[in-house]
Amino acid sequence: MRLTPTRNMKIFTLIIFSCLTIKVNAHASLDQDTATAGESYKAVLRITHGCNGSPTVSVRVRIPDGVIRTKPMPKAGWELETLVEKLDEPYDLRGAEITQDVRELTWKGGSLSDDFFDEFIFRAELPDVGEKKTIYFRTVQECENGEFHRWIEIPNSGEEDSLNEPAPALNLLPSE
Amino acid sequence: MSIRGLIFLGLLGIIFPMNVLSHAEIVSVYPENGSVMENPPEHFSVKFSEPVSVIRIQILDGNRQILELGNVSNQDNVLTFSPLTPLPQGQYLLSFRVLSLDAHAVSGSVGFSVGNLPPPLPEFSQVNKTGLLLARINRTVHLLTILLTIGFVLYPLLFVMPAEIEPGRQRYLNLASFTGIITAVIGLGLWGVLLIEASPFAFFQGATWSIAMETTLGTSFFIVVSGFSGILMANSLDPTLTPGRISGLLGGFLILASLGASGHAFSSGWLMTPVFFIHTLVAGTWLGAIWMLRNILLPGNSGQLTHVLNTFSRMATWIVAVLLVSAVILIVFQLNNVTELLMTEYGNWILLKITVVLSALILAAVNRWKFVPALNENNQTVFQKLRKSVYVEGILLVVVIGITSILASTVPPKDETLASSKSVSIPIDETYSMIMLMTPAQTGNNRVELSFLQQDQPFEPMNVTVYWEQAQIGIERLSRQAQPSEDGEFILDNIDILVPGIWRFQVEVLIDDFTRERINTDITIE
Repeated sequence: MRLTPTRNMKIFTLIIFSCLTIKVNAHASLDQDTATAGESYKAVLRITHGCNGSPTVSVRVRIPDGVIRTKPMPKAGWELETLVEKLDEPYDLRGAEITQDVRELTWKGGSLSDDFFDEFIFRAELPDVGEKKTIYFRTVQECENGEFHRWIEIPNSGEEDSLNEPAPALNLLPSE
Repeated sequence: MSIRGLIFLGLLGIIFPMNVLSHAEIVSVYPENGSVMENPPEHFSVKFSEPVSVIRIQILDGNRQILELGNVSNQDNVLTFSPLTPLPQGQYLLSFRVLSLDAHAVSGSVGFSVGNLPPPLPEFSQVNKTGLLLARINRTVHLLTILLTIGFVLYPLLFVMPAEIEPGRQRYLNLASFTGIITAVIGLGLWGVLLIEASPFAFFQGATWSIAMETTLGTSFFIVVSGFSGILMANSLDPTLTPGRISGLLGGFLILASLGASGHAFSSGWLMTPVFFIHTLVAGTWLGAIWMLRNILLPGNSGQLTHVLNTFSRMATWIVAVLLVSAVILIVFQLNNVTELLMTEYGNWILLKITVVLSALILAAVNRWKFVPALNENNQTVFQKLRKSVYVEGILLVVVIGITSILASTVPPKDETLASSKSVSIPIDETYSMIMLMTPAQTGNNRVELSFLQQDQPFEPMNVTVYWEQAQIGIERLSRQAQPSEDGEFILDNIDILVPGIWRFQVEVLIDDFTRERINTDITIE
C-alpha cells in the first residue's frame, strides 16, 4: 500500500510526539498521550505510586467535555463504577440524540501497593477538532491512609513541567 | 416611691443595653486598588459590612476631572454604579464616602487604569482642619453643659438639701440648658460640614444640615434638645414638688441618653454602654458639686457648708473609685495593648487625660485634708485659698472635657486596626470569586479571612491552602492550610509577617474533587 504524503506526515508526527513524551515520571499519565481527533481511543492510565508508602485504594477519572461513549475495562480485584450525567451539549449518534453519557469512572476496592505500578484502561471517542488541542483527564487517586493525589492541575503556557500534580494530558491532532 | 427609688429605676433604665454601633467596614471594592484593566469596566461596586448611606461617589480621570456616573444602586450593603460612557484608556481614581449606621463617615479610594498604564496612587481625603477645630471646641462646651446639667440635677438629691439653700442652682441649670441646646444645634451643622468635607462656610447651606440630620447624630440631637427642654420646664415648676423633680430627672436622663444615640464610645461591645453612662454620671456629679461648692464657700455659710463638705467628703472616695475603674475599662476596650498609649495619637490623648485627672484628684485631696479642716469663720485666708483651689480643680475638669471631645473625634487603635485591614476581591473564574481580608496587614501577627462566592452566593470549597512569599528579598514560600469557620469562611490565624513590603499571596482552592484553582494577589504590608 502506498502511503499518501499526508498520512506519512501524520504517522511521522505521531512518532515524534511519542518519542518526545516517552519519559518516566512519577505523575499519573496516559500511556499514549497523542491521538487523532474524532477517532476511537484506548486510554491506558498509569498509576506509578501510592501516597507516602500507603497503597492506592481508589482511582477516579473525570471525562473531559467532548469525549463521548466512554467504556471502562473491568479490572480483576477492583470494583468498577460509572457516573452518567446529563450533557450540556447533546450529540447525535446514528440519527438518535444522546443527552446523557458517562462522565466519571471509578475503580475502587482494590489495593495497589506503593511499590508497584498498574494501569487502568478505558476507551472513548475523541472530539473532532480543527487544530491541535490538548485535553485533560483529571484523576483523583485515594490511598489507604486517607491521603489523596489529585492529578487535576491544568498548565498555563510555559507551566507544563512545573506543576506538582498535573492532570493526565492527551494531545489531539486534527483529522484530515 | 422615694426619690432614691426613682434614681435607681432610672439608672437601671439607662444601663439596660442599648444598640451597639460600630463603623461600617469596606469588604471589597471592584475594581481593586492598583488593577490594570484591559477593557473599561462596565460597572463599579463597593461592598460594606453593613448598610450605608452615600455621601459622595466620584471617579476622577488622569486630569483630575470628575466623570459623570449613572444611577447608584444601594442594595444589600453593596453600592453599584457605572460610568455614563465607557472609560477611555487612562488612569482613574475611584473615591467614595459613605455614612455608617453609627453616623461616622467611612471613605476610601482606589486607583486603577484602563489599558496598559500604571494605576495612580490613591488620594486620601484631607481632613477639614478648621471645621474639626470648631467642632471640637463646640463639643467641649456641649459636653460641659451636659455634665454640669447632670451634676446640677443630681446635686439636691445626693446632698439631700432643700431648694432654698441651693444658691444659683436654678439659674445655672437654665444657663447650661440654653447653652446645651445652642451647642447641640451648632454641633449638628458642624458635623454635616465634616461629613461632606466642605469648608466651614457650608455650615450655612441646607444640604449640609440635611445630611447631618440623616445620621444618628440627628437622633441624638432630638433627644438632647428634649432633655434640656425638660430641664427648662422643670425649672419653671416648683422644684421642691414632685412634678418638678420628675421633669428634671427625666430631662437629665434624656441628656445622658443622647450620648448613647451616636458616636463611637460604644463600638467595643454592649458592656461599654453602662460603663460609659456610669462614667458620665459620676463625672457630672463631681463637676456639678465643684461648681456649687465654690458658690457656697463664703464665711457665713458655715451651716450648709459643713453639710455639703461632709457629704462630698464621704462620696469622694466612691466617686474616685468608680471614675477610675470605669475609665480603665473604657480605655482597655479602645486599645489593643498598653504600648498604644505611647505609640498612637489616641493613646497620647488618653495619657494626657489621665495626667490632668490625677492632677485634679491631687488638688481635691489637698482641699479635703489640708484646707477643709482649717476652715474657720474668722480666717478669711483659708476661705480664699480653698475657693481658688476649687476653682483650679474646676478648670482642670474642663480641660479633661476638652480632651474627651478630642478623643471623640480621634480614631481609637481598635478601629485603626480595622481601618488598616487590606481587603481584596478576586474573580476565580466566571462562576466563583474570592474575598480576602487581611488584618492588620502590618508586620507581626496577622489574620487572614477568606470567603468565597458562587455566582454571588456564599460557597464553601473543599479545601483552602494559602502560600505567601517575598521573593525579592529571598523569603521563600510559606504555606498553611486555612481552617473553615462556622460561618463558612476560611481562617488563617497567627500569620507572622516579619518584614514590610509587597508580599505575594497565593490561595489554592479545591472547589470540588476535580477542580483546583490558584489565585494570586500582592498585599502591601506596612
